[in-house]
Amino acid sequence: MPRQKKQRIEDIPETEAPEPESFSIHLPQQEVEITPAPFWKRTLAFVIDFAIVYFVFFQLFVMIYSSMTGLPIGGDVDALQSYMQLKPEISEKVFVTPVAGAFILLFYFIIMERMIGSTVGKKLLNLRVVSLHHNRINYVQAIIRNLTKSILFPLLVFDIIWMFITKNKQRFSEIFAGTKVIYEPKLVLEYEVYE
Amino acid sequence: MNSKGQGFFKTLYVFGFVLLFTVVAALVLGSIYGGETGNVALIKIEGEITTSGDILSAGVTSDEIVNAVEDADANPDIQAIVFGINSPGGTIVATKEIVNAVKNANKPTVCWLRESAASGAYWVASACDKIVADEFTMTGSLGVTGSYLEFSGLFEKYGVSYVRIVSGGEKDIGTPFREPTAVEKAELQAMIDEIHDAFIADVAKNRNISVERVRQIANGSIFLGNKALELGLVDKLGGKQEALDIAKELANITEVKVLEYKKEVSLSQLASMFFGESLAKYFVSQNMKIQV
Repeated sequence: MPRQKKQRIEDIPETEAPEPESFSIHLPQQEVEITPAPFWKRTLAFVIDFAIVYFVFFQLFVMIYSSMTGLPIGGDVDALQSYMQLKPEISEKVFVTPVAGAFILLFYFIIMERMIGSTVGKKLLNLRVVSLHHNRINYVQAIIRNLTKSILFPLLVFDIIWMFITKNKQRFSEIFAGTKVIYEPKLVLEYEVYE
Repeated sequence: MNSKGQGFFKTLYVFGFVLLFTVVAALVLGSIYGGETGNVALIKIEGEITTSGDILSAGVTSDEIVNAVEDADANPDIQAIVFGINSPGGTIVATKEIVNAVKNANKPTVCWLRESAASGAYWVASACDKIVADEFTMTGSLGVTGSYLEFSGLFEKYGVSYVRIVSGGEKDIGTPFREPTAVEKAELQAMIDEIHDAFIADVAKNRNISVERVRQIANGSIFLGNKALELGLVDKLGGKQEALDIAKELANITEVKVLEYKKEVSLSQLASMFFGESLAKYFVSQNMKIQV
């Protein structure tokens, strides 16, 4: 009677993997169902991504920018407001900060979704951004679908409403870009090794 | 490397790319909108102090200095304000405006007296928390002058007469086209004395010296730094470094980074210089001045 033990496929180093003819893999019986990502998962993923951009990238930007301009950005808001009242000409310099923040957010989503098909938040929640034919999206699609999440933020509510009336739970900008977000449960392949 | 590891490193790589973008964006925007920074403001008061001036003027206007003081006081990065003074004084109201601005500053103030800080310039210095002067700085001259040029003799010589049509007896007091009457002279003298009294009282209060003591030395005499220290008009002998050291101590900061507030020349000022407005203003403004 051959002894059986279960191993995860990723635990076996490639160099030590047995020859294909020496073992058989029994794929799980059930099919993995790929469904449109639910609203709450997408919202949570966005919150995670926003937090990452805000606390990592935006704070880094503020640190460098404020040290170069001498503006007390990121510190006492009241002090900054009174300083801006006294010197209205610095408003332009201060206004650069949120605009740059919006562009950093946009850049983060574009690069992440184009290059790895997901973001940190989406990865944590097993979400993936794909084209309508389930391919990786291109840069134009990535830009279009992320505009309302960053520099066109005021239009986000209008954009989201479409998620509740479309079959694939797409935002308006996603329909326009030809993309969708899918929920892809993590597939753990288990196989039996016969010795 | 398995696919999970590859995915992690790819995410890390993309993350680094976004990080690089952020740093480049901050550096580019910072260099476009950037300015100098510091924790100790250095405001120079050089030349005659007036309420209005232009780029041809050698001195400073009270607006420039008051704006700089208010700016430094509001700027959260600035912890102390140092004034570099090299001035013979100026007009009374301009001087008072600066004195008030220095007094109203919530941050420690230190005055560093250079070649000269006489009369109104010393009045400004007295409003600072501490005063540093060189041993050869010319200071003091606590007095008030009121003067104007009187051309009546010259006009008479060339057959030019002054036609006087006024609504009141003293409406043209101080005109350069006739000699002042005895009453007018007395009135002008009373004004000068009143300003002198206020000057003495304020310096005494600022320096915590008795009014009588200040009055004794407020006869217009000039003192060198050594003597001024002896008289209690300055706190320490030294230069810029000593002034910054005191600012550092008063503001309780570990390292001093000086941010100098420089005079800004506007386009309208440049235009007025080229179109000769400044020269015209100069001649028009030669009426009576009361100076401290």
